Amino acid sequence: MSAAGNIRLALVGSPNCGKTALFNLLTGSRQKVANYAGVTVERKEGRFNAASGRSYAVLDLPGAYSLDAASLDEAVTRDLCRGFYPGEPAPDVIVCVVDATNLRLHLRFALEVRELGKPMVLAVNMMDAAKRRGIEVDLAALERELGIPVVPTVAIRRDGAEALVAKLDGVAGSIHEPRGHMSAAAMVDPDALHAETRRLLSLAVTMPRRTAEIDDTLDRWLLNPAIGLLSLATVMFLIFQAVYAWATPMMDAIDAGTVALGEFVGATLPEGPLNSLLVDGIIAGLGGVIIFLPQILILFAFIIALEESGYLPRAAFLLDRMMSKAGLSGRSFIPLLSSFACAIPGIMATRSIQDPRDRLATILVAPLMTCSARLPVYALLIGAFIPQQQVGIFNLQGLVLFGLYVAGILSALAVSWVMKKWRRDKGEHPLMLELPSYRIPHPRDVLIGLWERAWIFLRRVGGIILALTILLWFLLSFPSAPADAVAPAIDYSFAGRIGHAMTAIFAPLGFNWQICIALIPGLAAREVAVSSLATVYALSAASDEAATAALTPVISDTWSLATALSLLVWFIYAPMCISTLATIKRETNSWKQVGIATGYLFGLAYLASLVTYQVAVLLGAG
Amino acid sequence: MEAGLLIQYTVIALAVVLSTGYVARRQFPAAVRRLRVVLAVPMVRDDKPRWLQRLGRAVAPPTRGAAGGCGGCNGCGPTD
Repeated sequence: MSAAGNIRLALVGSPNCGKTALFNLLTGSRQKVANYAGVTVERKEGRFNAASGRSYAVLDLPGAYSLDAASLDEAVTRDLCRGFYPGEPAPDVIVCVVDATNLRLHLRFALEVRELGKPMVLAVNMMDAAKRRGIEVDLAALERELGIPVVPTVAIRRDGAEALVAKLDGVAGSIHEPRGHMSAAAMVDPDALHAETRRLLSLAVTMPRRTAEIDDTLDRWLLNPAIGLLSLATVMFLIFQAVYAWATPMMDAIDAGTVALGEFVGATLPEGPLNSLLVDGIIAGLGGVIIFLPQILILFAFIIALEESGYLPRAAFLLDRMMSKAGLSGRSFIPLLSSFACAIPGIMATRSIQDPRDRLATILVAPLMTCSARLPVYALLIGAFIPQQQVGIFNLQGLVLFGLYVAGILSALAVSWVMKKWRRDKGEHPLMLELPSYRIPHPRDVLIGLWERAWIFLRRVGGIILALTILLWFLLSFPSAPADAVAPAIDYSFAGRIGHAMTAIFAPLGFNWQICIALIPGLAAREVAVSSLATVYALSAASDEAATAALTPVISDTWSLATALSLLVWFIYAPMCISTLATIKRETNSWKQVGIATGYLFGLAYLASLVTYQVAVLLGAG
Repeated sequence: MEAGLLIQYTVIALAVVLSTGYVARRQFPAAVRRLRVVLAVPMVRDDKPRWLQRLGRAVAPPTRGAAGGCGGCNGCGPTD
């Protein structure tokens, strides 16, 4: 037991066994999500009190197929189960969760855990699904053969963990350590483990067929190379439509709230630097970031629902061949999809890629996906320079926006293809995926997942983004203009001086000093460049939309088409987001990789913008 | 300078210093640790006044090592 008197439970199990659903059922919203010390593996801990009054601290360990670790996740699970993980007390009881419909795979892992010799309970989960498929599990026989307590659970039912809690309560403090059944040599011999699993299955499980009929029927269509890809494209199209269509009312509400708060604070506080810091800096800056929360949550709602339904591994399987030709793998699909909302969750989602080489390639190309923060910039430039006219049945402005998205995707594939050519290890790493049974996502699990995502995002907003916003406001506001100043005040600020100095580098791309200044606050978040341009042009704007509306005629009058095209191309590639680079550092734990990402993105951006500008000038657009 | 404006600039200076510290600590933890060591070592020497030594100990980074017990291996388990 822990010092606090809680009994420490560790939930272990193979991926897709319903372990996290069981964790959610046991702990509800009493969860803490963080990382294990020194690694980027997510640590989830929760608490619950049983009817007996006993307190339990539950740790949801990363999913593992074996204790012979093949990934960082599995290594964390192995070390924690053994009580060797630094800073983590050994669990008092291990609850090993297995899927009753997939015992052939999951029992093998349970056998490995049992051989650790720690107090353990086996939770046979999804008993309802097994019953529907006609699978009968003789729990008494399983308990007798394994020599450990075995309980049935249904994690999606409110009372689905009662048997588990009752068993834990009944035997707490007296759960015996299981006797070793297999020799040390047999424990590491996969054949012996398989043989023991087969023996247990023959004794305790009867199943009419190995896979569910509905799974086979759906897979016949959804894994078909033609129909499957078409279905995937349709699903993706619907997700993007929903992300942009459904989020708009919520984004408008946040925007209106930000403006109202800014106006209230601006009117309440006396004029002065503190008023400017709060209104122009903190409220406008953080509001400009929080506005993307609805898009992020909608995207994650779809991702969590697709993951829970069992479809995502199938999407990864479908795309594997195509992506492996470009040096990625099917597992890169989800992180790259997430990067359309923001590269940061996309890069964090690469934790699910077990192969370090594929993971690194995905991390390095994720910033090329068109994140939602680029949209305000694209909307500003397209609105100012691309005429509102029809090309056949399509809108020209819409086509340009679509072209910018496609350019990002093609660039990511091209960059990963080049990385594949350069790396020493040219071997193809086969994609090993378990295709779980299809199931209807439980609303509770989706909501808890969304709450976690929202909390992580808001913590970032209140932490690093707030700090950077204050620093950027300072750079844009100080030193203030001299009394006899003729130029705008920002000209005399630190950021203004840096902007003027930067023109020496960016003049060949057609960027004037105003654009250079806007690039600096854009380092914190790309969309801030729009509001910054408005400030630079001495236009007051309380929101991105207002800034865009006011800016459009100014930049269309003062910039050439060549400059606008060059800036659009710059935003496809430029490493303009410090938070993304910081996330790359955290995920790779390597400054070298940050340097490579920054270097190649900056190089590509500079080269592509230079070529675009010079060619456009030659064609008379300068 | 009037008092109200002085207070405003003081609050801004505090916010900027705290933000700089936060960003440095989050983005460059190793460099911050080294900086704290460099600052603290001359302050804690025996010939320094007691108040400076106390300040030096406050500036010094916390010692490294496993936080809390690892639950039974008594420090003999693998650390990687």
